[in-house]
Amino acid sequence: MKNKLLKLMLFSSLIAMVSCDPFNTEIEKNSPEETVVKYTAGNIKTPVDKDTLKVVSWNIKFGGGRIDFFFDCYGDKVLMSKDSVIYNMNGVVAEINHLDPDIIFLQEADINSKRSAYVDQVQWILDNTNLNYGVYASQWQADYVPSDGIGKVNSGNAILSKYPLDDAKRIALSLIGDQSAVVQYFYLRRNLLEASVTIKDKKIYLLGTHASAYATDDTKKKQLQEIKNETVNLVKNKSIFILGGDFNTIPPNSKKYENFDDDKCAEGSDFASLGFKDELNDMQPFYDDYQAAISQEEYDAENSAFFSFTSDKNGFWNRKLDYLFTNGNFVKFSGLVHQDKAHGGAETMPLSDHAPLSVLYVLP
Amino acid sequence: MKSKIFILILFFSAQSIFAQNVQWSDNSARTLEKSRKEIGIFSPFTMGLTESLELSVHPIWFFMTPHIHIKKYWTEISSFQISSLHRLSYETPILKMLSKSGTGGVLPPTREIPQFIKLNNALLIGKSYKEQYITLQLGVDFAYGFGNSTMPDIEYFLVYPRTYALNHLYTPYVALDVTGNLYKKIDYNYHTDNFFLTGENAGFITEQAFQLIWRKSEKFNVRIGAIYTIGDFPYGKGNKILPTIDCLWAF
Repeated sequence: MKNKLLKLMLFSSLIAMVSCDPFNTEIEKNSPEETVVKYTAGNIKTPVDKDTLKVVSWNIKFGGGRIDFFFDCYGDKVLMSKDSVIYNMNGVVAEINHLDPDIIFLQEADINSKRSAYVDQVQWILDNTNLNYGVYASQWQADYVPSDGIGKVNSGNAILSKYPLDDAKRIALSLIGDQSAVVQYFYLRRNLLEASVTIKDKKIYLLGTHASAYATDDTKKKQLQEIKNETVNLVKNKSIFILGGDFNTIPPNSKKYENFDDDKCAEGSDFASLGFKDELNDMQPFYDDYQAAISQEEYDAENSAFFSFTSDKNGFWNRKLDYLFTNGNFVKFSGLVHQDKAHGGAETMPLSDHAPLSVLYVLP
Repeated sequence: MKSKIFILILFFSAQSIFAQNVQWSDNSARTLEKSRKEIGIFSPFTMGLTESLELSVHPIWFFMTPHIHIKKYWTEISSFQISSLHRLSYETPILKMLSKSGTGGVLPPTREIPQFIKLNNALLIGKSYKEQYITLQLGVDFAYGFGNSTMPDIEYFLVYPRTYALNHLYTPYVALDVTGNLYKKIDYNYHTDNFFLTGENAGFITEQAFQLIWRKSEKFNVRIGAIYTIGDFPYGKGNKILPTIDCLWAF
């Protein structure tokens, strides 16, 4: 009798255990190391020996090119066909080959999403460029998102490199606090992806991130603080790092910070732009302590030359959301936002709602 | 893996007494006795129309997906009970409800959804064996859309194989159901559904479910268990374990 009751209790416990995350959205239930996916190119290409590294940061909009998706309010697209994804990814790959980075920080890379026909975009880039190794950390994962027909999604940050990557881990950033429990369960879970690369016996930590875009509370501020804290930890340990990503906020002294001409979503909608009036100093701590690919002096002299985002494919880049920082050394004035043929040598507007940002890093 | 081994251990340690005094609605070849009615939190309303004919309708689901299920017991051949299962449903209302912007949008709002009719037919062959009742089910889902369809698949576990026919015309399947008594008023049920996906996304999905059924009385039971599914989805191989729970009342 006792054995039978024990079996019944054990069985009931099993039921309780398996029911906790039915849509597999809770990325943080695994360890920071376990949540990172590691990649290798199908064909390893030997990098050329050099004194500087070309470092790029680019939000590739999940291979969506300039298709008008519902969240920008220019259209109502949700799902792409495989042909569309491959066409767009070929454009992304062509630009990456044109840039020829040694290291690239990617944001909004899909690896197994219904909206991008389940194409693994990280593997696609590795197999079609000179990059050899990659690490990926999801910021949006669900067996099925029952909203807008999105379905299965796995999208996040990636760091790709010509050199082997080690010490990879995913550092969870704060979730948006003023969401309901259900929305928060299915929503994005932002992260700071960390890895290290050793070149000429010098270890450099690489930090890739993508801060919150639609938070209406102070979540983004918290996330920026968490990112800063990790860089401070690395500095305390006398480590060199390069931090890159889409911070979804504008630099200090930006001349325009609200009422952008590409704001098409109605006020009050989930995707409405709130402007950056209350965030003008949020990036200052990074500028104070680290070298930026685009210095404050350069930006202050001419904001528009460094704008890296617009949701309007028929407009022009109208704000700077993308950054690269280091506590090492960038080659001064080597930072460039690849806005068009005149600035970077290629038309990047059709490829994503973000332009790539590049800089040269001096190897010690 | 450990959970599967544990479930198998429970299965093989079943007690010899099979003491089901009344037939509850289930996935076996047996039908409810005449005039017996049952309803569950998740299970449909089921009624024994005659000693060999059972009708099921879900009182809430009916208004989103009008449907009717019939199970008919035909005959016994060499101690094998032969029944058939027939389900007819009109799927379009629920699909259109779920095709929307924002929360609850299982399908994109811009996709065309035709008038879908779904028909399921299955042959059930059941037999008592050592205080257990075993049923083999051979069935096929058919679905036809009247009009143009750009509806994508719904690739979530349990839903995908059961809606696959909407975009791919038919889905054959094989099921096995085993029910027995574990201890006094506690029965167990093991059920497996195996779907053979045809056409463009051809593949195979299997579901393994195990439940414990506490028969408090002839009028009330509680069912608790888990279902494990693994197979071929549009994105590749997928697997999941999910809990199952229900309470049933008879009147």
